[in-house]
Amino acid sequence: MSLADLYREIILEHARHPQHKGPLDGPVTLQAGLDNPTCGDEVVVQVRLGPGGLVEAAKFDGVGCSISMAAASIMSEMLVGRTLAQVKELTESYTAMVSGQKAPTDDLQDLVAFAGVAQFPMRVKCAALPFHALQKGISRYEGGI
Amino acid sequence: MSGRIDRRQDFPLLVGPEGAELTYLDSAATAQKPEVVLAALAHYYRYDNANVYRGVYSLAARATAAFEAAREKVARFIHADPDEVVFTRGTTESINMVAWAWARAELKPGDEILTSEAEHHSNLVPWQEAARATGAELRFVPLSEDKTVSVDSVLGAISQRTRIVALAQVSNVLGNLPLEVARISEAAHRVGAVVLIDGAQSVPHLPIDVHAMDADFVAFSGHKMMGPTGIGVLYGKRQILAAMAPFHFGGEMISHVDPEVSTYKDAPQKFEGGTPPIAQAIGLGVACDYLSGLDMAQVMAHDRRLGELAASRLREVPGVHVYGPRGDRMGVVSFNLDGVHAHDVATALDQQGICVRAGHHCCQPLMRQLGVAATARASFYAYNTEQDVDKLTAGVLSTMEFFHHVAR
Repeated sequence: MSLADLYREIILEHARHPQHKGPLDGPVTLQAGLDNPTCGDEVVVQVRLGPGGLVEAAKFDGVGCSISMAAASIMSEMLVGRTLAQVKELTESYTAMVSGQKAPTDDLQDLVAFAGVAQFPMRVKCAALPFHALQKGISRYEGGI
Repeated sequence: MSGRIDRRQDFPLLVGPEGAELTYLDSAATAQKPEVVLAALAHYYRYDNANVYRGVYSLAARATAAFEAAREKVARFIHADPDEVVFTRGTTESINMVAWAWARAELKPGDEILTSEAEHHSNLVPWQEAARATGAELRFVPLSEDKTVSVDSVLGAISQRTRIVALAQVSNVLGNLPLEVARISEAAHRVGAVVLIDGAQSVPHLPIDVHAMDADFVAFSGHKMMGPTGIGVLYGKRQILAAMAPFHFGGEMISHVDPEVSTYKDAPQKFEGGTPPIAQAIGLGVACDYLSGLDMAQVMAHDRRLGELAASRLREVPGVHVYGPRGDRMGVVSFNLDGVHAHDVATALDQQGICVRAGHHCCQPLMRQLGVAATARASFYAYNTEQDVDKLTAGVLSTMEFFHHVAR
């Protein structure tokens, strides 16, 4: 396992130039923040649902390593146009891949770049952080909190 | 004082096919263990294992003698008397013992606890809680430009209301030269305050004479000084320990128990309720002897030389920021690479067999003072050499190259 297997070009690119970063303008349907107290990474995810229950806009904000920031950036890009059920499916598929429980599948698209994380156990939390924040936001929304 | 020590061969983890490739630069988190300590642990369990104080059989007497001999070794190492050495689980428990057993009995509203924003959480959070419980006020020593604590600023911050001064002698992030504790003790005692020194990063790395320091309490951990985990020490002055109530109540700390009320043993046993970490204490005693054999003045000179060398080499790399004092320092060097998160630095160095710590180092207020979320940190000990500094510098250069050029 070399460094380039973990830090794929697309990850470095998103870490350097994050997409969908900053506060979400307009109404916010669900949001949640999460931090990793052992390393100080922090991420906030905001999502707006539009007509038909599809994600209309998604943004993230935070500070962290290139793995967590790139994951948040690519995740935010991929959420738009999906239903919450599809978002949850994507989240499960992705977290299973980075924790080494499942091989990468095509539905993960650009997120497949994070497959190498499974070989770096200390970094799995970084890769999963934005998705765990998303999960927290969804369960709060669905629980009416 | 040459300060050149090369004892890698004494450390089983660092020799052998895998270990030989390892550049271990995280001794500020925990130190590697020499063969003599590992052998002492195995010997105790193989030949001497019994509970201490309780048994009348000769095996128990042997275990008790070995445990008390360890206390004497630790006492000798810090120039204390054995009855001033309380065995704990580590620095955190030692400080908590003072924050509970001493502070809650002694502090009242209007009193001040003087500490700093450069402390490890283990020398800050217990005082936040003690302040909340007693109504005392937390005060912070103003930090110098490099965010270190200076004796002069401590002296300036001590007031008539100060009841306790709680400071690390060496910061686990900044690697400052050790505070001259005797000067702080003198000023604190003049206003009737006591002094607690967090010695987690100093006791393992320099000659310590607690009586000369005149501190009332010194807390430190065994595992950072080549001993086992699960053992630490609270040194306390005899008369303060005598007046202080126990912290853990239960077996072996009592002298007489009636159904309604009990009396307690004298210090240090009254602070050591329950079966103590016997093997760990014995291992710590052996670690103290091992370090004394190296000569602590030499250990300090060695760690300083490597720390100063690493800091000056890293400062020469464009885009690298080194925190803490310029020039003289201990063997702890925190740094960041422009545009690369400390965790990414640590993963990249790990790929080259270099173990550094990355994160906030249990010092979130200090990270805010430094204006960063996290740093990488290299720390040195007697098994490190100049070659390790070379590997670190080369590793940092190639990490910079990877994140800024190759993958662009």
